[in-house]
Amino acid sequence: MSDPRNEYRTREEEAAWKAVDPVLRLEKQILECGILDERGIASLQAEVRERNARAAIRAAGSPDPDPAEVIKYMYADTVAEKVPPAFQKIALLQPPPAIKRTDGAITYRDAIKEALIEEMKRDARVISYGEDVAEYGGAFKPTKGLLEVFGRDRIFNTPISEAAICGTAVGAAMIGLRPIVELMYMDFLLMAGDQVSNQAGKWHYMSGAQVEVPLVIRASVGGGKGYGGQHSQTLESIIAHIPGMYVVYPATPYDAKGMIKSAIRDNNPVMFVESQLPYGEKGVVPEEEYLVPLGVADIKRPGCDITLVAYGPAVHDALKAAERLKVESGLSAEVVDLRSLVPLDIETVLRSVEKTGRCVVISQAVHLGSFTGEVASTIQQEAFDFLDSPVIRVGAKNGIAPQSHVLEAVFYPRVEDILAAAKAIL
Amino acid sequence: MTPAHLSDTRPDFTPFEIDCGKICAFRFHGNLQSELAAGRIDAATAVDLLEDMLMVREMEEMIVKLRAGAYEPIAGFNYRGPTHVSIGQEGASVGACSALTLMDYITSTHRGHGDSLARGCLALRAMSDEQLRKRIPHSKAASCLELLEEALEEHVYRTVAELFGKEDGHCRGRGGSIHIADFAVGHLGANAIVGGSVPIATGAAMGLRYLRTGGVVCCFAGDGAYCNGVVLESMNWAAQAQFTNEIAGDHRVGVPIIFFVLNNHYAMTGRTDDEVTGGPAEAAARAKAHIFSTWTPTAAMATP
Repeated sequence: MSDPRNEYRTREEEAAWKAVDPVLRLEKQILECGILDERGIASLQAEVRERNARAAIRAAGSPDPDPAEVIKYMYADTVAEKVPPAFQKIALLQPPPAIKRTDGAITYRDAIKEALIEEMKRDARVISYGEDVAEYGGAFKPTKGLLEVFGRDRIFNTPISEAAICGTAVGAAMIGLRPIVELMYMDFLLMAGDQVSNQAGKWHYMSGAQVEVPLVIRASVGGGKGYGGQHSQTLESIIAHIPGMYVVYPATPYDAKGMIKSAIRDNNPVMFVESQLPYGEKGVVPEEEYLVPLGVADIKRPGCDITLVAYGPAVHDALKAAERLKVESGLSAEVVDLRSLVPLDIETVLRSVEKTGRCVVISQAVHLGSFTGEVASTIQQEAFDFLDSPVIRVGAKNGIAPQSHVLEAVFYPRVEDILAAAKAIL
Repeated sequence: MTPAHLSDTRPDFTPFEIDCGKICAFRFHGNLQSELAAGRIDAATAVDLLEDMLMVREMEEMIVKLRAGAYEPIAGFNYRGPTHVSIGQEGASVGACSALTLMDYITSTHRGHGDSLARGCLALRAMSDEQLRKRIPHSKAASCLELLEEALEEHVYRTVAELFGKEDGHCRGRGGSIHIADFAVGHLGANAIVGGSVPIATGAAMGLRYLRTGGVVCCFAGDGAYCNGVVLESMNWAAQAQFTNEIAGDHRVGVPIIFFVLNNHYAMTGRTDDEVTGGPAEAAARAKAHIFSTWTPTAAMATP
């Protein structure tokens, strides 16, 4: 150890350990066995010393990394386009459950399930685990029926060990699997903070791109159900702030299916955020194969008077606000769904703002430190000349989500809040 | 019959006692001579092990000297970064890695130069010429010995370059001393978060179980790490009944991981013996609590 070592241990203790120095003991035994003599040991020591010195001299004089490449290797730029032959053969224990469509529409929950079935049928490297995901099908049922199809080798329950759930996924990904793990509530992400932010997100960069860490963490947001402070948080802003993770938050069944498929095939670790509120909401989802790329925003409603930027369940509130602006004030609002926070498609937002000159950025996150601040400041920096008014942010109160229905109703941003913000700058 | 996955645990409050069994420690009473006599090691391998231990010692003494500006070959070099050396632990790093094959993996710690150098050196010694040439494609070595010597020196070079934050380092200078990794030889990374690599090792081992390809993961972590929550989570994870009981169907296979405890008796400066944990046998007792098969290599090896 390199510290002075005199504040916490005795000199006598250190001397006793030095007396059992493994290097000296092996040297002694090699001498005693007559494998090498004193000269032989000395020459081995000299060889090692000289080899290390040559390496050190060379290393000291070798080139530094190029400062222009300071964030190179942050993300892998590859996806699993092809499945290696060894992983194409999938044993199904029974046919996958058919997802019932009504006029082509299925629920958000079933969109996730259909995507998982498709990807697990495509690639044997894809496995899925988390608390309650097997027989029970997950607390909110998106994995119901998968165990019966794929077996317990590929989908299984775990102990209530969120850090180990995320950490084991990193290890499994490092040796070539593509795990999808579930965090029942996004609040529990904080239990896995180190494994997500220091491990999953960092190893591609810290290894100098020696390894890819392809995993998906499905995190479900409980806000709006009266579950209170520890079951209602939407924490995507925190993960977006930690370099190395992708963060996506689809709002519709169509995007959910297409984006989770992209996330599974991507060679970066992806935080896939799902809100529990729209799990039962229906939308048209094609039965045939399709992907929604990560990092591409979507104009959910075109307009020309004001831009409403949102992601996750806030997209639906923005759409309702846009409709009311039209009906009540005859104004045309464009709704941009970010869909993905990292990578962020700021271009689509800027093009919209350049057209409308006005913008409200909305999310369900607590206002302080919310990702909406990042979007708003970027707009003001990049599109200042096009703006006719300041960019306004709408989010939850700077507080802790309450259980009381009455309090929760005012805690999260309402359609009225979006309307008020829009009207303030129109 | 009730399916295996359906719980059918009934109330049962019958008094019981559990015998936690004996934990055996320090059972190896042999030495190099007895190992040579038993044919478990040969003279050349013993010298190789000493050489690898010397390489670790020499490199770490270099770091200490560099800090004081006293490493003569590059006296003026400004070394920046951690000096988390493992002086005195070389036997553990080299000994453990000598028992691994090229199919196996390790994870390491913030005090992991020794593990990293050892895994690399011992993997190189186990490689075929073809594998070595793939590792150092520009080599002009004429003989196998020259090839190995070049590969060893290159490994030291890339290790030191990483410590120095250079582009030629194993991690292109992005990782450094406490995040050094060499995935080409199954080194899944040192880890600057104490205990941080333990679930990664567990997940890699779980992956090996799933792939059915053989191989084990040797998870190096210190005695201090075994007070960290995620380490205890990982021990339980690896010992889950569902991997080996009837729920696993025809795949009743445990998770192939070795939790290799580098017990240096200190968690930073806190003493794990009698200060920040319990008594000296605590770590071993915790393994027993997770129903691991406790393998005592020393007992088996001491018998001629």
